Amino acid sequence: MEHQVMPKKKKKKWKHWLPLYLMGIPGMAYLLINNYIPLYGLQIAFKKFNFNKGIWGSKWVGFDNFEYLFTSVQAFRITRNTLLYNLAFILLGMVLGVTVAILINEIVGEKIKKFYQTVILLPYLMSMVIIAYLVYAYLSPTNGLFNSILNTFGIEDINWYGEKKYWPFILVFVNQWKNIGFGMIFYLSSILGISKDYYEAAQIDGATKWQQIRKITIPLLAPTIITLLIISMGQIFRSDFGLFYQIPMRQGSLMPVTDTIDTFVYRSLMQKPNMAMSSAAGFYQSVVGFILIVTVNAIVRKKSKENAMF
Amino acid sequence: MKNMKKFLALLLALILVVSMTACGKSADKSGETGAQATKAPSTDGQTESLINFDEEPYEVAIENVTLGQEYADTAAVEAAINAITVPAINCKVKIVNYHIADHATKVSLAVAGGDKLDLINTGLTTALSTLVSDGVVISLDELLAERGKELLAKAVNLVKATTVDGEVYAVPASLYPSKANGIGYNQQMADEYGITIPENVTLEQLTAIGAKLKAANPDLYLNTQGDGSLTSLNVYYDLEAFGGDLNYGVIFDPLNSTSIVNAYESEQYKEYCKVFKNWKDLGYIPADSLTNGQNGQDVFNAGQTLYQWISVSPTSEQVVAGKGLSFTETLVPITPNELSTAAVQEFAWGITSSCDRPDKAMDFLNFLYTNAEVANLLQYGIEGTHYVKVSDNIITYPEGVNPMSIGYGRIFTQFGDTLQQFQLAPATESYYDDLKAFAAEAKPTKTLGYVFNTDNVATEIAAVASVVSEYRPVLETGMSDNVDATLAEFNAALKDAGIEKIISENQAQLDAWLAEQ
Repeated sequence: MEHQVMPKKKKKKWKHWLPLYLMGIPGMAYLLINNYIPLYGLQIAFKKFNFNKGIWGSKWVGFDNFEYLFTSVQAFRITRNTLLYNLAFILLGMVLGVTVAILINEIVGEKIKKFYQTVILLPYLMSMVIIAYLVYAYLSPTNGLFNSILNTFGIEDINWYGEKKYWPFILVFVNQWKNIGFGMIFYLSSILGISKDYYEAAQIDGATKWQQIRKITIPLLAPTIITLLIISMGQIFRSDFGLFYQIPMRQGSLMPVTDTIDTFVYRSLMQKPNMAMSSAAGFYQSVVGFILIVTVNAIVRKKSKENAMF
Repeated sequence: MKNMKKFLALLLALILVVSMTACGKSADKSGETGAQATKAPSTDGQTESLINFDEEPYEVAIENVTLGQEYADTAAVEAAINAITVPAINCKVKIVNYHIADHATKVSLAVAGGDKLDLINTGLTTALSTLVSDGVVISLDELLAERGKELLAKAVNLVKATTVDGEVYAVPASLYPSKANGIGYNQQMADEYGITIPENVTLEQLTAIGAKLKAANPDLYLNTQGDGSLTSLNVYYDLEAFGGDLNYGVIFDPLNSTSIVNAYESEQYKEYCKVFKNWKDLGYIPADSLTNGQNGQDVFNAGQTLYQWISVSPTSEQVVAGKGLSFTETLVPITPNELSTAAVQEFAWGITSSCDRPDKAMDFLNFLYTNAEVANLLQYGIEGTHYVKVSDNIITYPEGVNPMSIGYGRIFTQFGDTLQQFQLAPATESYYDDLKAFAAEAKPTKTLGYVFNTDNVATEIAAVASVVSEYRPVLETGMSDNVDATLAEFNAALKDAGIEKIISENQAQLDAWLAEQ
């Protein structure tokens, strides 16, 4: 951009854009206050935080605060669970989100379309605590719906909150049920942005609905899909605390498959709150997320430059 | 574009510098005021002469830890207290009501720079040693010697339990803190089914009682462990846990022993888990308490269980009287009446490091423990509105008022010297003698005054806490199918997490402390 603008014209350009910059000030201030200034506090992760001495005056302790994340026996388990669940959530969320968006887009009736959209989005607006009790209504060991159904078929009760083998499916299902509506909105808005001309031309050429979806909709959705994928990669080391903490009702026997980094940190520091150690966990998650975003973006850039974010 | 970048960089740098100096300032603050406090004149030793009546009255913010009541009349109580304290010690009071569930977080936030908060309940939700090593509370040695003489005289035998590294960091809020652990049972329910619960009841006897109760009414339960997050091992066995929820090792029989062992490996723990497993199989405790979200107290208060565990002392009887239950709760001790570090620290006052005037906070604290009128106001509110007199010193709730709807009250926090204060019925005038007798017969544990400093094993403590939250609730609610196998797995995981390092560190510190005594 700079080589296009001659140095003399620069001043004029600056004035020209000034209203736009002014408009941007609230947003910039928000970013600065909310996302940049708190970076100052990151040093807590490397300190033995003392309220009396303040952030700056506390003693440096190197990586001591990170130790509990890696030395514990559960270190492997929490890392595996966090990564695999998030991968499943991201991939399934992508496939289901695109599918549902395409299906909704194919509905002709405006009213019924709005109705489906709202119904699918509704769970996204619910609190995890409420969802936990919805799930409990189905799985309760004493009067749950599933056990009553099983009983009518002569099958014995299943202790849902004691058997860990069912939980990967339950958690993935709950996550998708809750979040699919939100992902769908992104994809649907992109689909609506695709020019109708393509489809008309395809129809004239005799393309079937399936061919239209495969050859027009999906390729044109690709930039949105990739952008969302890169963004979600940054979150891969963070787990949805509400999902993993509330839905399994904190059952110890389920923890081998429900314990993630966030729930582990919460349980570890519940009894003896330690700001430095919890910041260390957050810092670690951010660093891994940052590395992943840069890596995935680099891969995307290599494959198709125009789809990369930066 | 380039100018813009420069401008942004400059702005960022500026903000960083400003925020750093701001933090620097707050760090220095306590040092300055500490100096002020020591500069105050102390010519003839009288507390009154230390008070400067020429300045504006300082407002001391004091905590009241509750179960979430809003207490609409807080301002009226403050006004009534100010009418006494401003002429006497030139000091106003602001009552800050905190829910006990948020207490630890609220205190951290307040001290890190949020709400104004001067006097806090140490030990109630966060161990005193943690508050000291995190710099949340300040040393009170000089303040007590200068401005808290009367208070110090009353608490002189107890402050050794609030001493960390040779300095006093808190003052006992309850001046008679000795207690036994035991159970409180529903007297009406017991009478109905012909059940009597003797003192020092054993788990075996309780199993027999459970059988009787279940035979008489299958809808009732003996007890419930709730979601299993709180252990009750210390109810059935006499032990010292160093405020570590069993995770720092324990001393069984702390009146005679000083050897710290791993509670989870003990025979006592195995027996305890097996009893609860048995009770669950027999239906004496609810089979779904892990997931149904009800805590033991609520179930007991609703009259669905025969007993709950509770500390047993005259002070505890007052807490029960303040609960407004629809039935009589009778307290039965199981462990001996002991005075331990934990008992003293559980209710204690500390001054925060964010307090602007520690001297005034100490003035107020000293006044609170010498002036019965202020103590009664903080503890019970205003006469006629929040309580009515039954006899000279015994009070009760006015008609139509209960502890949940009352305009002002207290739940966890103890304000003032119990012997100078009114007491709630059904206590009678003999309460004061009973309390003195109870305090006199309390036996000090061998570790009274010892505080475990956890700084060196913070990593292990975090790892152990997460293992415990995984296995212990299953074991203690009787939900494990095979107690021996689960316990073995649990102990193996604890070893990997480093529980042995915590215990040996604790023992080493205790031995060093014992050698000094």
